Amino acid sequence: MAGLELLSDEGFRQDGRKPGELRKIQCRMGVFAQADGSAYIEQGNTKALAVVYGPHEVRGSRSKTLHDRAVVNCQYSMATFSTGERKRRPHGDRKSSELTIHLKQTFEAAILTQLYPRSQIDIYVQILQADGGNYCTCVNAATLAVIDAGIPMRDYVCACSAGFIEDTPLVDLSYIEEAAGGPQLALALLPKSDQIALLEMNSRLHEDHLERVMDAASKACKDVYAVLDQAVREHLQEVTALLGDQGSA
Amino acid sequence: MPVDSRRVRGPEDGSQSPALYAEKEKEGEKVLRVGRGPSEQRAVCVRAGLLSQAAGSAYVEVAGGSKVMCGVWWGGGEGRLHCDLRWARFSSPSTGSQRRGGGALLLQQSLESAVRMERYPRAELMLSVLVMEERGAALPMAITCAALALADAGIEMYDLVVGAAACRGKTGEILLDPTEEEEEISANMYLTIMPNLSQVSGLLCTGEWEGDSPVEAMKLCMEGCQRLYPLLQQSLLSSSKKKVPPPGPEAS
Amino acid sequence: MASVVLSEAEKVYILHGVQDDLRTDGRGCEDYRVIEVETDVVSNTTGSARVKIGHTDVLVGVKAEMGTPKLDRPGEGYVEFFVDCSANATPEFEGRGGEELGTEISNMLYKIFDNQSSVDLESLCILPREHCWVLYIDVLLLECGGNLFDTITICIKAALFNTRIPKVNVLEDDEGAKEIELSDDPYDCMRLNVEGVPCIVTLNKIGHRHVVDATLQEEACSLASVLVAVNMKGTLTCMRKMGKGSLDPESIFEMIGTGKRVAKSLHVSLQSVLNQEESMGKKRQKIGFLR
Repeated sequence: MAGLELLSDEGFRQDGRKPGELRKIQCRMGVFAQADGSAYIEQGNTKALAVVYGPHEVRGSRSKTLHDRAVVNCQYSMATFSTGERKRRPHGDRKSSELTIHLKQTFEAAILTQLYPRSQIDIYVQILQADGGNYCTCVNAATLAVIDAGIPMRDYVCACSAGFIEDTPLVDLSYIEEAAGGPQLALALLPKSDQIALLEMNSRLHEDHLERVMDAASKACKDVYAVLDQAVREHLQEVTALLGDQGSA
Repeated sequence: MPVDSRRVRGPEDGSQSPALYAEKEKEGEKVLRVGRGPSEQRAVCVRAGLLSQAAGSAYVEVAGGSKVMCGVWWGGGEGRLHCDLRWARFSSPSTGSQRRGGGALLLQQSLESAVRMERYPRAELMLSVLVMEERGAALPMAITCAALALADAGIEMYDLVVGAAACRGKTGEILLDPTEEEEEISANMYLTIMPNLSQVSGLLCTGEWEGDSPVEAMKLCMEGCQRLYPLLQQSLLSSSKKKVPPPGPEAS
Repeated sequence: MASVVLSEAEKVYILHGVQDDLRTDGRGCEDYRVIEVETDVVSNTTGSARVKIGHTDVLVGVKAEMGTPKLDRPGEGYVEFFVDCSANATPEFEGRGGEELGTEISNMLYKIFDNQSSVDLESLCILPREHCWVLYIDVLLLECGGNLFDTITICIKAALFNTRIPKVNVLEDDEGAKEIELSDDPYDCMRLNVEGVPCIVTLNKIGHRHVVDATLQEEACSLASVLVAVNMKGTLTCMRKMGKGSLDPESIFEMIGTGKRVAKSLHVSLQSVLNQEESMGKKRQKIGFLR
């Protein structure tokens, strides 16, 4: 859009953040009592809800059963009122199907599926409000939900998006920054071991800049990890306090 | 495709039916009923067992009103009742499709309370109802027709399901068996009962009903159903007589 | 809907409790569970609300868009419903599994709102035959804990109360060409009158008595139920019997009476909560799902 600067001269973005700064993250685990695990996360104006059912017996066709590991089944859907323009179909269109497959790949890498042979783990993510970084918020919400369900994982999966404007890598893009059309990178990382679960890039980026953008994204993922870890520990303290403990506080 | 020179083709870009631009009757004018009172139904003609290919069938025609046809077949699936309700394209000049949503659900629920499906655990019943002409109150007629077809097929039921419709105009008076014009401008109620058992098996009511009017309308509908019941019994009797000839004088 | 498996003993227990006006969670037959209502939960919409009754959680978003009026009603806007049963509620709703329930609920919603008094459609008209406001009401079912219809209609009423449609100016050029201008001021908007919006009360027949606001377990014990949609003035806008069992006409008359009574108090308390929430204005802390 003409006249709209994504990065001002002083180095501030449209919403006042610095290039390497994340949006405010607020999250809560255990939102729904009926599901095995659930979590809600708000990253800036993007709101996502994730629910986990499982591990349970494989529903539907028995042929999907794997004899040595669990099947991870995901679904990504967006509420029809989540975007600025009303969306006609919540899921089933190409974009949603693509993101569903990405989610599945990400979590198959992180969950210890060998512990649950011949079973199925369902992860359903719903976007309630979309303001950029949809996939990344989903991954963060799903990580919290899987932890809430008590399913063992190798590590947290933290995701963050990154872009490149005017020779500066930007981190955690909002909708306006995504729509501007520059390169966008989505990175899902297992922070402790620095292993990449998923890396996706759109548009064109010169390979000289790739390393800087990836570094910025990795650092942002580690920041997200710090926030999520804090949230999980607080939730755990709350829950154990409710259950009542004998002895130490 | 070769152009047919004997036909006059319509305009290329879409045109709308002139009926939409016709002057409509002013709303609020009372649509007077000609020839019958507010709690009188139109005369009904009922025939059971007219389709030879089907396991059971029925046809119901209302004098100056709707025509409904139903057939029942045995399917190959598991023990359940599968209902299909359709309005033919030529059944009415206006498309009331939005008002018809939910008709199939009413049909399914009304019949499920009457049919003893537990007696047929491994058989699937396919029921198909076609409304050929819609002149008001076709949905309850369709349910009556479907129950008759099931009885004609010899399927065990607790009782026949009979349906009736009523409407309440803006002035508050309740009319039984409304015509299409009456239905459109007022609040509607469709009620299906099992007359012998005096039990309600289906109820659908839309539009505004004030005060005690829903109760009055339900009582009126129930009376209407009771009056229709002997007719249905007669038609079943005559159709079974046709199927099974009376025993001759030389019985061996 | 998510199904629950009950043993015969549990069914008998619930049945006997209901006979004595005491349900498993201690309520009487005409009591609702605790209802939590919050409006303006999603900011991308024209209006939104979230309602939680027990374990049932519903989110409704209203989006107002400009469209052409329907051909047979040129002087009115219209309302479109879409119900999405998300897989969050139960894994059976994954993919296309939730479509059947969604269509059933949206058909029911169309029937309820298909009359003059529910929503003032004439106020949604901008230019007869050319432009009008179309309200897209999207219902998102997040969790199913029994009593879906009541929760959905309460949520729709709250979302419509929260809806702020921008005011429109129609400018006419010299040649007669009309141009529509939306006001830029976010506070210059039109509110909808929700007095006529009906709420459904579901009455489930258990044994010889009927209960309001059934949980999943109670729904599994009841063979038939009656849904009654009543608005604030006490007018019945829609009534439907659901379920496989048949009902005595006398019990239906009783249920209608109970439904009207319960709906009246429901409307009164809902309106007072909505008014209270609005009076808090900017000071209100938006909770959403965070607590």
